[in-house]
Amino acid sequence: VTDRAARFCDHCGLPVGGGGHERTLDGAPRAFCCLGCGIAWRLAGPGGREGGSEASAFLARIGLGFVLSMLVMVIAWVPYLEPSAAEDETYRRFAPWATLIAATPVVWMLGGPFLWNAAAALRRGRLGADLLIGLGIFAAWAASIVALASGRPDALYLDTAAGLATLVTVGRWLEATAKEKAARRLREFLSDAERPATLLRDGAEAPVRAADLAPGDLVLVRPGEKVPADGVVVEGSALVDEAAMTGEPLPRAAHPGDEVVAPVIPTDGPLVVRVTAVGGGTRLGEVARVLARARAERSPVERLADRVSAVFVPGVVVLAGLVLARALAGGEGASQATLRALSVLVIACPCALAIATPLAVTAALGRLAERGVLVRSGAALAGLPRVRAVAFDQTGTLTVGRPSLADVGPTPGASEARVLRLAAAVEAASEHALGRGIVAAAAARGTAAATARDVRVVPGRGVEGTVADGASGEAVLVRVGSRAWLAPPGRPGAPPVADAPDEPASEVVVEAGGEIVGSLRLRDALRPSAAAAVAALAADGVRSVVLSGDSPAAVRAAAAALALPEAAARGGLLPGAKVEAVRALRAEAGGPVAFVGDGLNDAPALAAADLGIAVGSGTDLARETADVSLLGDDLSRLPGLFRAARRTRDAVRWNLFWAFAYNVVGLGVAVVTPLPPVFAALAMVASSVFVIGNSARLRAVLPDDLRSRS
Amino acid sequence: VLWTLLAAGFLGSLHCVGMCGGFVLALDRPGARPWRRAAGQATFHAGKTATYVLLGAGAGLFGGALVRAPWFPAAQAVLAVVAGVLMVAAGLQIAGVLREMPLGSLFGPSSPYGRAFRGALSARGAAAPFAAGALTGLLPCPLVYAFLAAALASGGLLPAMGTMAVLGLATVPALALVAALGAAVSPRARRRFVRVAGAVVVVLGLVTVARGVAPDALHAVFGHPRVGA
Repeated sequence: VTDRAARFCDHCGLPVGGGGHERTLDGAPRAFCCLGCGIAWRLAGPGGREGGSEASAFLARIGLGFVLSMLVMVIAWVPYLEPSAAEDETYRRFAPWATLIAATPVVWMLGGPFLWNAAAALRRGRLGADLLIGLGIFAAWAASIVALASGRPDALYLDTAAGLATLVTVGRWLEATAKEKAARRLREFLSDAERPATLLRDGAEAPVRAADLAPGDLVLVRPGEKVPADGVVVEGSALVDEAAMTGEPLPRAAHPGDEVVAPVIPTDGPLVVRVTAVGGGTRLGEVARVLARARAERSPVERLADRVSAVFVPGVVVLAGLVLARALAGGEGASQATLRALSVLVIACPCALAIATPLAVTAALGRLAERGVLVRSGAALAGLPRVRAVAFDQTGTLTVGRPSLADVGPTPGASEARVLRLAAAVEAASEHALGRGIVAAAAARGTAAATARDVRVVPGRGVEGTVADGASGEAVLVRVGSRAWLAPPGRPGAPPVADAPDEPASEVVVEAGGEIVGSLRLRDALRPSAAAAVAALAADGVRSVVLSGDSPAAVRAAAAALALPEAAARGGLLPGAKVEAVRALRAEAGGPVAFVGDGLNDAPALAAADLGIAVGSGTDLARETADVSLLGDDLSRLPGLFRAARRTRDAVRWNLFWAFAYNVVGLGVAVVTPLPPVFAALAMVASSVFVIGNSARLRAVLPDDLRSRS
Repeated sequence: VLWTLLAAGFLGSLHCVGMCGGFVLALDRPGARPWRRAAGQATFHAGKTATYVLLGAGAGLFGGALVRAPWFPAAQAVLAVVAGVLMVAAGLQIAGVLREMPLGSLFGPSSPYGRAFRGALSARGAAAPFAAGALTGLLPCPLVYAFLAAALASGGLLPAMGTMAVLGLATVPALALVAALGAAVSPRARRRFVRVAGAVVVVLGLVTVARGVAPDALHAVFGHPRVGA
């Protein structure tokens, strides 16, 4: 041990002395003169401070409110806590002023925002819970001042005023943090303008930002990179993954002269693209504009607490006026009559009102998030039980969004197993969606595995490689690719064109040793959970409709597989038409409509619907727009989400009932006789305890709702 | 006795200058107008004092309940002895002779306390200094222990709250002048002042013990046994 006396405290600079202590913090030995300095150094020292968030400002206000409310309550409740002390002359003289000094900052700093909000809403002609709460807090404060001024220290409502302001702020904070949390988990949407791009200038590559591109520029897009702006392919061929833009899982071949739009991704070869549109001029920019418009048009869901309050507030104000008039007519003094009227306003304000909704909603949002269901706001959750119809996007939402093998068509003389084995062998090295579907099917069917050598991707066309074929194990060149490449019109042995052109399917032709041996058709299959989800929704009285850009026949087939009537299948819709279809559906169903989708092309419809639900591999923009995000692709959680939302709504209703019940009783009493202030405080505590208990119960029963009942 | 407490609080707060002064400086916004900075400081002290008074209320309620309990006639004397011993221990801790209880892990940067504290230090708005002050009041500090012991011994809700309010007020001057004092008083000199404060607390503790053991002998010297009332 070093000579402590000669060392100085790392925090305050005092000599460390005999009572000091040493610790190794941040990798260096530190000495502190006392425990407090050790803690203080770690709290305020290097790295101790972080940016001030909205939540921390809320918490600071709650801290102030909590400490001062406790202080006010201790001082005000001395007669109950220690009756002998209440006789003390100093106490009797100073306690009322002490409580006023402690309560006033709480009333203004915590209660103020409610009143300003209410005033702003009132200017727009709306009555809400904020007004009721603000009236209650300030009536309690004003009544106390009137009481003090008129020498009635027994009629102080300052403990109620401070406690009310603190509790309702806790409610607001719960709401704000729940919202913030959901938003944070969804904030993966990268700014498109910041995306890097590779500019080709005089044959040399130069890294730039997508925002700095101009029409006419040549950009190089490597496989796996996103196309930074809309343009035309001038060099190279590749299969491009357009799922981000269209939700379409099957890649499309792009050749020189074809248009590509941001942010599609070439999968098997580089493309050189001449930029034709940037920024707001791109298709992405267009979608963003449609989105902004749709969002602006959507009316906010009115909260239940606000609707109840809108009826309650005028009644209470009128009642307070009547009490005032009667007291004045009855010969009571002006201050006494004012006190009576204000006490009516105080007792009318259900303190549990402000926590009734957020407590239940926070509990529900937490439970849902545990199941991978992210609900953006309490308003979204409240809107779910009112939904009358659900519109589903087809590709990627109802379907797997991944091509899987539908059937194998061997040419005469070849077997299914051989075709699949050869195709899987060369595709095993390939990265694109069709190849993965073929390999998966081969594995699922137990086809004997083969390995290909010298595999080469022919961009935009297919794959080729050498595989040991047949019993002899002779090495043959196998090609798997598009009909245009391997079976152009007129080539002998071309497999027949499929006879069900309406079905959304992709075809690859397989060639071995220069001879066509067959073709494989891949289709995007319905999710196994889709039919059960649609049925469960129907059982709960919610009808389902399929809105899709796919061909009408394909959508009809999907609807039939889901046991939906033909009228529920609406195919061939462009993104703009989907928005119209959602609106039409709303009119038809006579109530709010939810839209379930995943692609960028669904974003406008997600925003236009009363509730947008993004699923599966939903693109960032879709998630950004949606009110609800289902992480993962299990649709069976959808009915559970609706059930949980209904149960939450019921819990909120009960909470509100109890929040009001105590106060309605108190109100009745206050009209007849002057109410002792402690009654207001007790009503506040009793209703809050009930609301907290009921919300805890909700948290306990929700998991049952979320389990699928298939 | 009130003045003795005030003096002990002031001398002891020369210790706080070092420890909590950092928080005061952290809350200070040098760019703001002077009155705003002063208001921030005042709010910080109000928060700290509010916490002290609440702690005092707890101690006073507990002490008062014991004193009035019919099954515990000797409560006043026993409380005085217990509180006196606690004060002596706290005094020795203040003076740096005795080591403190290892409570540090409860207050680490990642504990709920630590997170709340850093949130309060960085939050915007007028309530932030108050919240930071209120949390500072909870930090383990022998000076606070000494006063809490005195509050416990006072045997009543109001005197206990009064005692702790005195602590809050006594530490204001030193912390308010933290910048000036930091320069004017050398660490070694501060150390000496803090030693004196510790000694004063030890003496107060001994007096409290003595009062519990032989109340009549000291009555003439110190007057009514209630502190701060």
